[in-house]
Amino acid sequence: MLKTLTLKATLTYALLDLLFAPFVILAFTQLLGTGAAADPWLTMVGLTLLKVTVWAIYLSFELSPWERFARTAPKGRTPELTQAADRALQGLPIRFGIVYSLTWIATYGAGFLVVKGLGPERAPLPAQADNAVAILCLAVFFGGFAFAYPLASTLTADAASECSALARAGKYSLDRSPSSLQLRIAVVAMALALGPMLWMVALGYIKQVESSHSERVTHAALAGSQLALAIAAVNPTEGDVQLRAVLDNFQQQGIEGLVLDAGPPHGTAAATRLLADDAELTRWLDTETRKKSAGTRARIDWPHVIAFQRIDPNRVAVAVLRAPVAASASFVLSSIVFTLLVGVWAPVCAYALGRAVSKPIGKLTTIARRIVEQGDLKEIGTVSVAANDEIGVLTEKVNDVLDLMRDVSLAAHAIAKGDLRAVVDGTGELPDSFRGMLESLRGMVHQIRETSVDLASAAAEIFAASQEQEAAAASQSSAMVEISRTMDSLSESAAHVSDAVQGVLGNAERTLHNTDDMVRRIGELTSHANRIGEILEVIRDIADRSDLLALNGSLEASHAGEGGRGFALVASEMRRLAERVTASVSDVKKLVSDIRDSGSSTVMATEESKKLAEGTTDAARQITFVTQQQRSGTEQVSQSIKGIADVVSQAVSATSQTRTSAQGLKTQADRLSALVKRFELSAEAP
Amino acid sequence: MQPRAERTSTSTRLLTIHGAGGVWGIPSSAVASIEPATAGAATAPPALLALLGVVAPTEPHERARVLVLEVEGERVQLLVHGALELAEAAAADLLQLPAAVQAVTPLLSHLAVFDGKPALFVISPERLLQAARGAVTAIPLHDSARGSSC
Repeated sequence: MLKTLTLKATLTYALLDLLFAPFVILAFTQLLGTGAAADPWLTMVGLTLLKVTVWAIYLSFELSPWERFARTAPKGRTPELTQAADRALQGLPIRFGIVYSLTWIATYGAGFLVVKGLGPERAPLPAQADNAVAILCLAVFFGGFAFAYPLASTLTADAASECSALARAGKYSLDRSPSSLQLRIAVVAMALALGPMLWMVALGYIKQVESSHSERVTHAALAGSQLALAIAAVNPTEGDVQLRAVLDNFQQQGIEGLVLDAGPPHGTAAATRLLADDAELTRWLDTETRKKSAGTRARIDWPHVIAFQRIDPNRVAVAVLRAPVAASASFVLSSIVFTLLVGVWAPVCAYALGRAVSKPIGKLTTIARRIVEQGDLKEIGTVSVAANDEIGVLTEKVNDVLDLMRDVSLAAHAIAKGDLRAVVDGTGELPDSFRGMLESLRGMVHQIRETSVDLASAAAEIFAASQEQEAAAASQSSAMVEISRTMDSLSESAAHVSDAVQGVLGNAERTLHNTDDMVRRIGELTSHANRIGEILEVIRDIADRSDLLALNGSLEASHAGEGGRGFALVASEMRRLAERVTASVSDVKKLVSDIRDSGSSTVMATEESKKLAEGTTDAARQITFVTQQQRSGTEQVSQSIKGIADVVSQAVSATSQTRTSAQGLKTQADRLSALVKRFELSAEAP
Repeated sequence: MQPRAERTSTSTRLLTIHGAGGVWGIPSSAVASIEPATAGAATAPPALLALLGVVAPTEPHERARVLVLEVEGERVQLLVHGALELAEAAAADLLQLPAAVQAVTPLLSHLAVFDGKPALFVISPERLLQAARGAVTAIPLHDSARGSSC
C-alpha cells in the first residue's frame, strides 16, 4: 500500500526501531545505574528520534536513483536510469547497514556522555562505566547491522528484480559486482552473534562492578563491627597501646580504623586525615551516630566505604575500607575469550551453514550454465541429494527437469533426424507444449509434402509460362525495336519530305511569282500585238487603198489606151507591191494573231500554271504542315515506342528473372520435397 | 496569157472578179472607178452576185469593193466580193453566148476562153445597168465620186 520504496523502508525501519528502542534504553539506563531517572530517559528518547531522522534522510538519499526510476514512465526508463537505480539498490544493504549501525553507536555514545555530564551527584557512575558503554556500543553496532542489512536486502529485492527484468527485456546487462552468498551469511551471522553477546558482556561487566561495590560495602560494615568489638575488648588500663595495636591489626587488613568519643578522634593517620579533609563526612558521622548505632556511607564512584559501629554510649568505631570497585579478572578474561571465540566461530559456523546451502546451489548453477552455454545434457548426470530440506527438494526437482529435458532432447534429436514418431512422456506445460509442437510439426510436414509437390508443379508451369512469355516479350521487344527504327526512318523521311516540300514550296512560290510576271509580260505582249494589229490594220488599209488606187490607176491607164501603158505598168507594179504588202500584212497579222492566240493560250496556260502553282503552294504548305505534324507525331510515336520498348525490355528482364526464380523455385520445391520425404510420420498422422 | 488592152481592136480589157461565187468579168471600159465598200453606209449598193442570181457564201477574207460603172452616161454602183484583176482577152477568146442561154441569164454576154479553156463569163454592162435600175436608182454622173473619165 505504501507508494514508494523509500517510504516503505523508512516506515519499516522506524517502526522496528521505535519498537526496540524502549527496551534498549531501559537496559542502557540500568547498565548506567540511573534507573528510572527522567533525565537519561528523556535524553535517550530525544537522541533516538534524532537517530531515526538521520538514517531516514540517508535512506532517502540512497534510494533517490530508484525513486527517479520509479517515477519515470516505463517507456522512458533508459538503460542509464535503470543502471543507476540498480546500482543504488545493490549497494544499499551494506551501506545502509553500516550507517544505521553507526547511528546506534552515536546515539548511545552521546547518551552516555550526556548522562555522564549530569555529574556524580545526579548520576554517579563507576569508572568502569566507560568500558561497559564502549562494549555496549560495539554490541549495538553489530546488532544494528545484523538487523539492518538483511532487512534492507529483503526490502530492495523486488525492486532489484524489476531492474533485472527490464534489462533483460531491453537486451542489455546490468553492471553488478559479483557477490558471495556465503560471505553475506557469514557477516550477518557474525554480527548476529557478536551483537547480543557483547550486549550481555557489557551488562555482565557492569554487574560485576556493581557486585564489587556491594561486596565492599558489606565488607566495610563487617569491618566496622569487628573494629567496635575489638576496641570494646581493649582493657582500659592498658590505654592507648592496646588500642593502637588493634588499629594496626585492622590496618594490616586494609581497614583504616578510627574512634570517636568526647575528645578528638584518634585512629590511623589516614583515617584521621580523611575525617579532617571531608567535612561532609564529619557532619554525616555526627548526624548518623546520634540516630543509629551502626551505618555505612558508600557510593559506587567513591574509592572508599565508611562504616561506623557504636561501641558504647560514648564511643563509636569507624572503619574506612579503601577498595575501588572492579570487575573480576576472571570475568573479564572469560568475556574476552568467549567474545573472540564467538567472533571467530560464528562466521565459521555461518560459512559452514552457507556452504551447505551454496554448494548444492553451486552445483545447480554449474549444471544450468552447462545447459545454457554448452547445451550438453548427455554428460550431465543426476545431482546427488544430501537431505530432504529445501535444497534437497530443489535438487530433486532439478533432476526431474533434467530428465524431462533429456527426454525432450532425445525427441528433438530424433525429430532432427526426421523421425517424427518420437514420444515424450510426462505432464506439465513443457511436455504438453512439446507434444503439441510435435503434432503440429507432423501436420506441417504432411502439408509441406503436399504443398511441395503442388509448388513444384506450379513452379514448372510458371517456368514454362515465363519461357513463353519471355519469348513473346523478346519478340515484342524486337518488334518494338524494329518499329522504333521504322519510326525513326519515318521521322527522317518526314524530315526529308518536309525539306523537299519546303523546296517545292519555294519553287511553287517562285513559279507563282514568275507566272504572275509572265502573265504581266504576256499582257504587255498582247497589248503590243494589239497595237501591231492596229498598225497592221492601218498598213493593210493603206495597202488596200494603194491596191485600190493602183487598180483605179490601171483602169485609168486602160482607159488611156497606149498612152497609159507605162502608167499601167507602174500601177500594176504598185498594185503588186500593195498586194505584197497586203499579203505581208496578212502574214504579219496572222503572226500577230498567232502571237495573240499564243499569248492568250500562254495566259490561259499561265493562269492554269498559276492556279497549279497556287494549288502547289497550298498543297506544299498543307504538306509542310501535315509533314510537320506527321514528324511531330512520328517523333512522339517514336518516343512512345521507345518507352514501350523499354517497358517490354524490362518485361523481358522481369520475365527472365521470373523464369529464373521459377526454375529456382522448382529446384527448391524439389529439394523441399526430398527433404520432407526424410521425415517419418506415424500411421495416424494426417 | 495576159489580156490585152481594152482599146485595142483585137483585144478587150476585162476587170475580173475572183470570188467565192466564181470568176466574172466586166469590160473595164465600163468601170469608172473602184471604191472601197463603206461598212457604215446608209444605203448599201446592190451586190453583183445577187443580181446574177448566184447564191454563194461570202468568205470573210474576201475583200468587198464597190464598182462604179458608167454606162450610157449613167453610173451604177455594184458591191462585189473577191479579188479584182485586170485582164486582157483577145477577141477570139470571147465567145458570144447563145440566145437561148442569154434568155436564161440575160446579164451575161460572153464566155472568155483562156488557153483554150473556158475561164469566165463576161457580164454585159448595159444589161447590168438595166438590172440595177430595177434594184437601185441610177446615180447621176455629177453625183459620182469619180466622175466620168472615159
